[in-house]
Amino acid sequence: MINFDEEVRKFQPSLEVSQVEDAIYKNDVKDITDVLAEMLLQLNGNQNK
Amino acid sequence: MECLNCGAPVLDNGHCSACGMNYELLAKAYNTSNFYYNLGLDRASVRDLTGAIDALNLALKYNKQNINARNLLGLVHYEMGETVLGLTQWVISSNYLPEGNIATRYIQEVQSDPAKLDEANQLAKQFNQSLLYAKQGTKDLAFLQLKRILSAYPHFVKGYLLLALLYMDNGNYDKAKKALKRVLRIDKNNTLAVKYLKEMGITPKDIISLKESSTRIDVDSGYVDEDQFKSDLESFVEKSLADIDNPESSVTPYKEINHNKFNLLYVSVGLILGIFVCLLLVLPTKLNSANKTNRELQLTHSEEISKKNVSISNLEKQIEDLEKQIAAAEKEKNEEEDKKKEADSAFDVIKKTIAGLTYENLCVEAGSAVNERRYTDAIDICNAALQIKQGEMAYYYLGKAYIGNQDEEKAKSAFVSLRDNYPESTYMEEIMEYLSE
Repeated sequence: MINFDEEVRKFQPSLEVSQVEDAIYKNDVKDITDVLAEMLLQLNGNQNK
Repeated sequence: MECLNCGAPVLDNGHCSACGMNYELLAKAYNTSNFYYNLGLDRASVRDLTGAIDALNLALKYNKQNINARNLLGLVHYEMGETVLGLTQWVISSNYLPEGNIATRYIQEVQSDPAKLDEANQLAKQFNQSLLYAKQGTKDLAFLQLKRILSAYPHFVKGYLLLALLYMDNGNYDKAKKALKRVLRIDKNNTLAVKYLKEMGITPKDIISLKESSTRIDVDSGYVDEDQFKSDLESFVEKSLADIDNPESSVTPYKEINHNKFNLLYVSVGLILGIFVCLLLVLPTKLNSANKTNRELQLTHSEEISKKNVSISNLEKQIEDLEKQIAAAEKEKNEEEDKKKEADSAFDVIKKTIAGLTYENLCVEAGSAVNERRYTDAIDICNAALQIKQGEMAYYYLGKAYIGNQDEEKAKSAFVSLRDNYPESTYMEEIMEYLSE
């Protein structure tokens, strides 16, 4: 049986216009290119050491 | 070959000459991203919006600069009533590719109509408010707010889901099912809607038939799909037939509908509803704000009162100190006056004594000056003695000095003064002789 309180807690508030700027700045999702770039940086760092 | 990341030439070892990225890996990632974009596009085209969102998010994880995937994700959010979320994706997309990007047109379209943007903002605000009501347990208010939202925005999936949940909690499964059916019309594979339907005991087969019945969509019309329209029509025909079959049901004669009467009824019902909504929605908010203002005022006043009390107590303390100082000053003044009186009396005594002494000394001095024939000195000494004290000896020697100085008039005047003031003087016989001459 569905627990109302638990289910309601899963609902997230909708984004308001005033929050768009924050949402855009925080939307820093890493993709494969970012992961590869980080790995290369780490590799170069280890080689320099 | 050019690097997919920075555009620099790729070396023979398969790595970029500038950024060092492996070309093969990047190409694979970009291909996978495009695969998920295509999947998302397929799902979106059959209104599996939740599935499309999942696929498009995956596409962006492989390549966040996949403009098509991002634009479609924004469009799907927009379709589900999340305008602001869609706008966010489009803004990011147009940031990656400012020119020749369809997202720019979408943004312009949304921004060109400020009223629409404001409506979207209001929708988000109202939904958040109703979510808050639901979380706080004021479900009636949540119901009212959600119904108002959904009457204005029939595409808002999240709103229908919350409404269905509220109905389910209320035990009103028919209405919950209706709300969920509307969700499935917009988003065919909405996982939450399917989950709620299963919880209500609806079999997977029925759920599938529900989904299939939701393929034809026309949300702008009164009936959002033909099945609904047909079922309503069938029920209407069945009811009419039942009325004819039922002998108890009396057939009323035809009557012209009095529209004016109904209009009045509608207006009064509208008024009552308006007042009811006002009482339910507006009044509590106003009361809350008024209470808040009162509390703030009370706090401000109590702060001011406490500050004034502190200043009053400080002033009272100052008054007490000043009174003490005044009392001390008065006491000191009295003491000084007493001392002054004592000093004055002492001074009088001393003055009298010294004056007596000085007079006699001066008279003796005047007598010796007369004897030594220093008459002018004697006159000065006698005058000084008379300034201190009136006496017979001073007048006598003054007269004698004037005689010696051959000033008979002044001598006579001095003797006259002696005669008049001191009639029993021992010098009386001598001066009377002189005066008679």
